[in-house]
Amino acid sequence: MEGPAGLYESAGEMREVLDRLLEDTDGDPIAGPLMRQSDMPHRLIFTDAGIVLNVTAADDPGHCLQWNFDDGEAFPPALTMEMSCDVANRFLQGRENFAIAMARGRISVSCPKSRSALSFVPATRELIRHYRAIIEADYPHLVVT
Amino acid sequence: MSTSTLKRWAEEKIVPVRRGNWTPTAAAQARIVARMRDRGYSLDQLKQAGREGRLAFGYAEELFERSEETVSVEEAAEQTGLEVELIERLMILMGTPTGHERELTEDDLEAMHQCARVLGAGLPLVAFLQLVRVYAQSMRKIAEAEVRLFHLYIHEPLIRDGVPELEMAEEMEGLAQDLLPLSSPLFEYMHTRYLRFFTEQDVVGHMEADLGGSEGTDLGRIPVTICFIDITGFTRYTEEEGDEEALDLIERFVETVEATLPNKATIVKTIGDEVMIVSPDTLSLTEWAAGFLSLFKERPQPRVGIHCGQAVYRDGDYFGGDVNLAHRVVTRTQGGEVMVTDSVVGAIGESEYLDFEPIGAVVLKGFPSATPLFLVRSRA
Repeated sequence: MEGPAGLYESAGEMREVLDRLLEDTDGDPIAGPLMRQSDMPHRLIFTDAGIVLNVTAADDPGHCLQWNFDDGEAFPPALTMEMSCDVANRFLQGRENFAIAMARGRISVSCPKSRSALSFVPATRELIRHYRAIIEADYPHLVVT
Repeated sequence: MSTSTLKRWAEEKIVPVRRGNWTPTAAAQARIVARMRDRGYSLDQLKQAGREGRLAFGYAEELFERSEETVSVEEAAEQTGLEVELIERLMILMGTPTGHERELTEDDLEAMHQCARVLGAGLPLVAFLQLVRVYAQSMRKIAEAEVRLFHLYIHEPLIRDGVPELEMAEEMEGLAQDLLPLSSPLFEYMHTRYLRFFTEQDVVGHMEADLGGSEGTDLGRIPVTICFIDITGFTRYTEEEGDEEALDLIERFVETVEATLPNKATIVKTIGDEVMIVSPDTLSLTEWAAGFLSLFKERPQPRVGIHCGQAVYRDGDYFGGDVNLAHRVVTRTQGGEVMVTDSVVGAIGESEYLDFEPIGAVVLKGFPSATPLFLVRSRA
């Protein structure tokens, strides 16, 4: 069930922004293949909004990524992250240090295989780049300093 | 080289000459062949290497021209106002091949003029010599990487594709000519960016020292938190998985460390699977370590040792007893653990997010008195 979504106007807006983020990343000649190469299904759970996002390498050769907002077991994730919407918004702008957020319990990560974390974490830099561009252009209320 | 030798090399196709037309590229390759002959390679070997395009380095001759004119070190001293001994020392620091420090090319002489200007502007010699050493070490690494990567990603694929040698040489020359001028603006940009970053850190450091009522530090000594992180069982992992897989693991590991470090922390160096990090902020570095390690549930797991104290900053690196102590701490730590000394616990004080579990005072190799150690646990 969807709930409040922090700085996002609604859970719907958050999904809209995440959709755009993944579309842009998928179409990016560097970020897309990089994310695809990590070949690691991951699940992001935004606890307060009740949103679940699953991302994995695309089956379609014309795309790098595929994703859905299905809270069922669409595919077994290699890495699962849980955080509130505000933490997600800060993290995706590079304003929330990933490791420190884990130590402080603001982001919780379940990642049975070490290799999965080593593939995923560096690739998040590309997500941050796209996310910033999107919110600065169209969702300025989400920008945090 | 005599004209007849050159003709013979052209006829035997050791040097690629199209219809008797000697291009600058062919002439450059002839000079390379002559040099390789001096090193003892046979004409057959050179012919084979030339056919495969392995001698297509003519562009280097064009792009990195060396002046033949030289001046003696005494003349250079007279012109620049630097002492002979200092010029020799600078030449050695700059990586001039042994035995060549007493003859300076025009470029070397211009570099000495620059050195004289820097010293004349007031930078103390002791600091300048360290800077030169750091510049030389960094530039050597950069140039080596450029040449090796150009070889791996440009030259080798051309060889594999069987591109004719003259065409290959011309293609490489064109690409190198396009690329070379692009590197200097990039260096400038990165240099300026890092200068800005470290200047800001320096200002913050001064402010904090003043506000904290610090009595100041010895010249060249810096209060710093030192962290070593490595991967336990890495040797075994290499044996089981092979060199390439192990190298890939290290690259990803270092990349992940870089991607997650707090803003104030800096990687000083990496040695194999070990990364040395320093930060002026003990708390954020320790929290980072606790969070970072929670990513690794299976072997091979990283481990972390952290200590804070004073370090001698020299040649871009940190030295001293406190650095050695930090390194000793990590060697006493198990995979998946963050171990810190009492100085770290003291610097952090009360933490909202971390617990420090004392494991007792441990005698660490090379240190006469026991050091109280603590395991760090995140409350999350």
